[in-house]
Amino acid sequence: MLFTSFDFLLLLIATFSLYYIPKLAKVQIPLLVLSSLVFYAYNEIYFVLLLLLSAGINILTSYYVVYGNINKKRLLALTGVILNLTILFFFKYCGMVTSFFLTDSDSIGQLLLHIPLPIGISFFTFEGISLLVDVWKEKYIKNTEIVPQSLSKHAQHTLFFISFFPHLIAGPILKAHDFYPQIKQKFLKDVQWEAVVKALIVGYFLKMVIADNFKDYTYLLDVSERYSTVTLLTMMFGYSFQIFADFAGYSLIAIGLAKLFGYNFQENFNFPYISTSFKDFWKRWHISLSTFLMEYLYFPLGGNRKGKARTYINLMITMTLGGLWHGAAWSYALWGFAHGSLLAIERFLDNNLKLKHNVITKTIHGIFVFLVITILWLLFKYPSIRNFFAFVQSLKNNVGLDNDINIIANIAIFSLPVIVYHIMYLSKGSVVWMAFKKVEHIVYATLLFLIVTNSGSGGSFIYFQF
Amino acid sequence: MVKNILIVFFIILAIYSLFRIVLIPEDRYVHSGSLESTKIKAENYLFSSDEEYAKRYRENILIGTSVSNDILMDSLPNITNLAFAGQKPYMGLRLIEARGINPKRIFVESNFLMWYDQTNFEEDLFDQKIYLSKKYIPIFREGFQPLAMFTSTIQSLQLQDKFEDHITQFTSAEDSIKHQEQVVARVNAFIENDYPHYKDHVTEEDKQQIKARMKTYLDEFVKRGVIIVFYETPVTQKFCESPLYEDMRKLIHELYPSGEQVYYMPYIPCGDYVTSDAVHLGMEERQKFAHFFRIHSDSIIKMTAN
Repeated sequence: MLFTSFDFLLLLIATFSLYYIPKLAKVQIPLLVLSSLVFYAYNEIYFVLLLLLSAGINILTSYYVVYGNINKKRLLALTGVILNLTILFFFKYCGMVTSFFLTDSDSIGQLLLHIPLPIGISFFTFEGISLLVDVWKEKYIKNTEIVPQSLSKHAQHTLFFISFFPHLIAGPILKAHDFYPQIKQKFLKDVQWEAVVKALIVGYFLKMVIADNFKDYTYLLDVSERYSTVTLLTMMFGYSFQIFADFAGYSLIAIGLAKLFGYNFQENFNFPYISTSFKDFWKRWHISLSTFLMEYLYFPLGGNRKGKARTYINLMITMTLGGLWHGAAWSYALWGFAHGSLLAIERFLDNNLKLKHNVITKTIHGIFVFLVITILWLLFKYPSIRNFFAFVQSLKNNVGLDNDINIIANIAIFSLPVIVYHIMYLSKGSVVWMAFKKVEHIVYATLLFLIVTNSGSGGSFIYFQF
Repeated sequence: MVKNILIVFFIILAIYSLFRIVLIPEDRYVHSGSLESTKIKAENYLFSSDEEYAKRYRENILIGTSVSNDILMDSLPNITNLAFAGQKPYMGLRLIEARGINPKRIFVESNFLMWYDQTNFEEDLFDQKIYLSKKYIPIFREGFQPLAMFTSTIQSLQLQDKFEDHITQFTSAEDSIKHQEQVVARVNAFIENDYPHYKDHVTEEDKQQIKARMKTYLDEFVKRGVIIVFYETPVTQKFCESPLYEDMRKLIHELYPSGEQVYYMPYIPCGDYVTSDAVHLGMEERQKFAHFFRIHSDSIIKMTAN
């Protein structure tokens, strides 16, 4: 079910109508769980069983980590993590690995090479891991604040944590220590309406007006041999803005929807295209994933505490695995590896060159970072590396072709809001910002008007495929 | 703040509705690209009133893909072109079915009947909730999009440019030869890229699927007395002579033999036309094909006048 579909609107209205009724206060969580399961089952009814299995594993292992044999805490936590990763590996990476040994010609090959990918599996698996590690390590809060004495209550909370529909299929990736303390009765009077409406308007605008309209042009990157170099470069930048608008839009919608029910999600995008370094970029892009990787992978590997060489290796491993999380294709691993390398190189240069930064050097660095990131997004667009090289070949060969003014003009127009969005962030506190605040309601009303009248053709969110 | 946002939103919506519906002529749709012009074409057909339908649409409808969408219709005043760029011929059939008005004749492009994918575009078009909102609230339809108005001027300039048959100027014979070689190399690359889709024979399983699909879409029209005319648009010789094409011709004839309600335009000999990218025709070739189409469609229309 898409957030942009009419059926979702009906589900949302039905859920919201019941949620704050005082007599139903005790069933607020079960109501959200039920809605979430309906949301998930809408397109993939059989995978609800997988979701329940994943939740079941996490419920039992986390409960007994807290209330079971104290000597078996570590074993139980690790067992739970391994089970989570096994499920993820089976559904997501089995085909990729077995393609080295098997073909479609036998029945085992046909089975293993075509295992369907349950939507959202990467997200809810990571959330299960977050729960287990948090209750085992107790790094942020006491594990009894996450796991109550009552197993049934813990089961309810955990099923809610994993399945809550705003974040279920494309994040943000919730951390147990952030989410569990919020689980309590919610009241209508506490809903932050202004924040909800603003998040939803900007989120739907980015998705339906910007990303969906970009999609109607950037799909032509699949036939790169037919377009001029300038047109291809324009589409490349268009795709970079599209992926931002699609994903940031989804995250804002998720944040707005969660707020509607009284829950706060961490922001997932913080104007990433103004980053002046790759390190800065990863503090601004898909923040829930980068912080998850930092807390649950980079730090356990040793982080930067085991010498410089080990730090660089840890960065490379974390980012490569982070890339592979996005999909079972070597292009994603290459993407992650490239980002890991850039972070390592940047760190090395910062440590050894001690360059002084001013506005000019930061701007140049920022432009460089944006260009490199944009080029690397093509590894998402072309999961087959052969197609990526075909694109590069087309760039070289098609200099003499006529430029497609229509494509260029439309991509330029839809890029403007993304650019303005980032500029507004940079202008915070300035005269421009003050002027914006005075007419803020007109700006949001205009965005809402464009959502209603100027949406592109419907389509799923890019990150659903991960 | 929320109240202010909603009030301003409704004011903007009302002003824009008045501006677009009252001040801009109904047939002055704007589009920002080929996909949007496809949507406008589809929505106009689906949602026009019965009076508008009678004025704009003919009793002969042509359905197909981008290749048929490119047919020059000026010399075919008795035929409505309901072919869509980026879509398969079945889209056109679904539209005619959804509209509920049977044409007298449907000209069916037979080149790509072997493929079918129901795109998001089609799903959006036929989704009941979206369909009803667009049917009764014109401002929600494509062709009324505010941002498209900015790019519509550029679009019309570009179309003008296309139809003026842009000629590249060369400063020397070597440049001209080099350009031609590049064009030929590019077309050959398109052919090599796409030929894998054509080189194999249709499997038994695919044959059954194609048969089932064609019967689902076409048989109802035949039962209602609609005359079906199959035609093939010229493609590059290699595709035209491919196993897939040969199999599809046999299959279509097997399912729909010539008769009272089924006609075939003559097949164009493979290699008779030069394509720009293996399947689409350049301007001169389109004129040639329009001439061919007119002669044979006129003859079939005359033959089936009663």
